[in-house]
Amino acid sequence: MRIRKTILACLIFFPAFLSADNKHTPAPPFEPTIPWLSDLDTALEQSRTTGKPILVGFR
Amino acid sequence: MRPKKNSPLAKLQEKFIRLRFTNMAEIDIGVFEFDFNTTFGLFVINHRKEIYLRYGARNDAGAETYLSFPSATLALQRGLKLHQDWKAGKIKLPPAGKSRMSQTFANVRNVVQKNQCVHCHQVAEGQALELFALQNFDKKTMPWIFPDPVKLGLGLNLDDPTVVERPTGAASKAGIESGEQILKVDGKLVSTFADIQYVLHHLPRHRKEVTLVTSHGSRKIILPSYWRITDLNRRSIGHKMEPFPGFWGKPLTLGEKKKLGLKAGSFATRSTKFWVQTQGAKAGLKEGDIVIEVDGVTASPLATNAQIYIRLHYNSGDQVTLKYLRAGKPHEAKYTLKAKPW
Repeated sequence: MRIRKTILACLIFFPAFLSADNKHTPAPPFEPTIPWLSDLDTALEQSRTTGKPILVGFR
Repeated sequence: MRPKKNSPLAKLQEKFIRLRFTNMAEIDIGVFEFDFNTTFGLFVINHRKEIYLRYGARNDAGAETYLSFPSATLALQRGLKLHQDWKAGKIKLPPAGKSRMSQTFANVRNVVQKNQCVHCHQVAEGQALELFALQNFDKKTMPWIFPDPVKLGLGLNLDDPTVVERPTGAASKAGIESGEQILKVDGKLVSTFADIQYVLHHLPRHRKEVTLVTSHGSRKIILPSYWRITDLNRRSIGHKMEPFPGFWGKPLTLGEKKKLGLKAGSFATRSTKFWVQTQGAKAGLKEGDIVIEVDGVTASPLATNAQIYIRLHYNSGDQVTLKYLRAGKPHEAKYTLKAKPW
C-alpha cells in the first residue's frame, strides 16, 4: 500500500519538480499581446465597421 | 523586429485593424505588390484595399538598412494621418491593383501541393521565371526591379527616408538640397522609402526624367545611365538566370578588395562551397578562390560581381575563361557553360 502511495506521489510530483527546473520547463505558448488577424475579408469588414485603417504585415 | 510593450510603435498598432500573413499561398500579389526579395513588408490600407503606404524595402548594402523602429513608427503615424485625410475627402487614392493570386505561378502551386509554406522569395522566383519566359526578354535591360533611389543621387535619412540627407549626382544637379522632404514622385504621394522605390520601379522604361515634388518645390531629375542597376546576386532573378556561371560565390568587401590591390568597382568573388561537381570545379576552381576576371573583363556597369556578369553576357554552350587568385597567385580556368549547376 505504501509503495503504491509512493509511486502515485512520484507520478504527481515528479513532473511538477521537473517543471520547477528551468531546463525542463516547456516554453509557454506564444500569446501576442496584440492579436493579429489572418483573414483579409475579416480585416476589411472590421475596418469598414470600426473606421480604423488596416495594417497588413508580411513576414 | 519586435517593438517593446508600451513603446510608441506598440501603442500605434492598436489604432489599426491588424492583419498578418506568414504564408504566401493565398496572397493577391496584384494588390499587395512589393519586393518579394525583402524580409519584411507592411502596408497601410483602407477597407477598399486601397493603399496609403508601403513599408519594408532594402538596398544592396543590407536587408535591414531601411528598417528601424523610428522609421516604422513614422510610417504608421503617416498611415493614420492619410486615413483621416481620406475619410475627410481631402485625398484620393489609386484604386486597388488588378487582382493576381500567388498561385498563378507554377512553382508556387508546386509548393502548395506539397503542403508546404510558401515564402516571399518563392513568389519572386515565380516572377523571375515568368520574366525569362517572355519572348522579348532582354537580359541587358529587364532583370532589374525596385531600384535604389541613391542611384539618382538621393542619399536619404535612415529614420525618415523621405528626407534627403546627402544629395549627389543627378539629384544635386536638379537643385535638391540637404533637408528637403520628398512629398511626391512622378505625381504619386510617397511616405516611406518603399513608396519611393515602388514608384521608381513602375516608372516606364522609356522615361528620361522624373519629377519630384519636395518641401522646397518641383524638382526634375534627369535619369542617369544605369540608374536601375542593383546587385542581382541578392535576387531570385540573379540566381535563376541561365547559364549557371560554374561556381557559387560571395563578393569581397571593399576592405578585402583594397588588401588585394583590386579596384573598388572590380569583380572579386570568393568562390564558396561546390555543392555539385560544376563545370568550374572540373576546370580546377576550388572553394576560396577569388575570381577577378571573365574573358579579360574586370568590371561592368551592369554587374558588381563575376557570376552576374556571366549570367548577363553568356549563354549555355558558350566557353568562358576565368582568371582567379589562389593564395595570391593568378590562375586560369577555361570551361563551357551549362544552364544548370549539374
